[in-house]
Amino acid sequence: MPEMLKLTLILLVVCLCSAGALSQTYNSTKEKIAKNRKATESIARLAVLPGATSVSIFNADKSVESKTSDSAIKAFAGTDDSKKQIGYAFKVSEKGFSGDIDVMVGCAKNKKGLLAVTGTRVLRHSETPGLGAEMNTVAYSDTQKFGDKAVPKFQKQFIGKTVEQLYLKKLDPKKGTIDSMTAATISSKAFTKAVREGIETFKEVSK
Amino acid sequence: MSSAANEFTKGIVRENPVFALLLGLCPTLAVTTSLKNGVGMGLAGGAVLICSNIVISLLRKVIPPKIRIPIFIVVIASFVTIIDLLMEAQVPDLHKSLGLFIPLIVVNCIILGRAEAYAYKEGILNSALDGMGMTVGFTWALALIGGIREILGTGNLWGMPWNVALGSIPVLGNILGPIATTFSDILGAIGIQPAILMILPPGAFILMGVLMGWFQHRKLKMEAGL
Repeated sequence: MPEMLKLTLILLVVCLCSAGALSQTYNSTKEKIAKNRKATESIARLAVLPGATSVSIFNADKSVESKTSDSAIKAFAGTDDSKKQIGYAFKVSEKGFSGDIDVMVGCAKNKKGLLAVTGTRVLRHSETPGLGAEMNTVAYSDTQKFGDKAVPKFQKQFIGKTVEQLYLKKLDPKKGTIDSMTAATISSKAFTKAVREGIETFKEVSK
Repeated sequence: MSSAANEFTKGIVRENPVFALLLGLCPTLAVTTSLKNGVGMGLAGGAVLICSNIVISLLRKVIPPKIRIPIFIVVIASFVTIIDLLMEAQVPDLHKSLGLFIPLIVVNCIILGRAEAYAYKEGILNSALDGMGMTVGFTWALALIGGIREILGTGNLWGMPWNVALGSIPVLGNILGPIATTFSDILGAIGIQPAILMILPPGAFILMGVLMGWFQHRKLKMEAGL
């Protein structure tokens, strides 16, 4: 069957070339992409802790395996100009509708001494535009009022909430306080779960 | 009309990928909840389409017909992934807004459809022109659907209230803005609310059906007139 062999060989060559080109591009862009992501993360750390002006590594020596991702949670403590501690920021990740959703979570003790969310920011996601990607959409009235500091409509609901409240109304009517995004329950659930389990893990770390 | 110009213009109306060829309907229906998303998807998809048409046309003599489809898929998918990686490294801001569309584009039937029906048989210049025409056609169709769904579904356009959006168009906005504002005030006064159905999947099907019907009607009328 010489023809079958010939076709197989051509397909093999095409696949080899593609694989080679892909790995070449991956290797040459790897460092730049990692650097870009690190920069986004350090901006996000300050953004999720309103009032904080600097952050330092919080749990360098006692990291606990996170339930939400393979890597251990690495928390940062944020302080303001007068060295007063504002809260903690850490990165969590959860499988969304398509691919991982990476979220930077900021939290601080509230008046009752419980950890409550101070802010969230999506670092990376690949949800469907128009549906799950709406998690990053800011309401028009908020852009007018707060400019660059405006928080997306979906994420605004998380501010001030404690672990017990971080469930979707639709799925947990009793304890839920979060409205899911229209036609994007999976993305909403993943985001909420990431934040909730991140704080739970952080509690263990900070004990 | 010269044939090169024809290769370009045919995709805009006569062989419009969405309304006439019915290609790429998955992203069309899923993504067009707003004007911004429609334009984003159209441009990102178009960029890939033009490049993949050129690549397939370049390789058309060495690709054996019997295994052309797997080769198209391998070539297009790897080449889109390479663009994705390069974009994330070099222009992270652009990647943030357009990168989301990439996974929807990779195995989009519009890309494969044009590779199979056109680029595999034609020269590089014609294939590039075909890609550009299809891009213009795809983008305006998506922008139209996205714009209508956004106005009817949320009362917004390009992320702001639709009267503000119309008012911010240069020159024309001075006339359109106040008219739109009066109109939306009247709507508000008689209690007409945006219909959220329009940004949900059924809204996409309903609107697609209406627009396609209108498109076919125009086409039949034009053919009868000739």
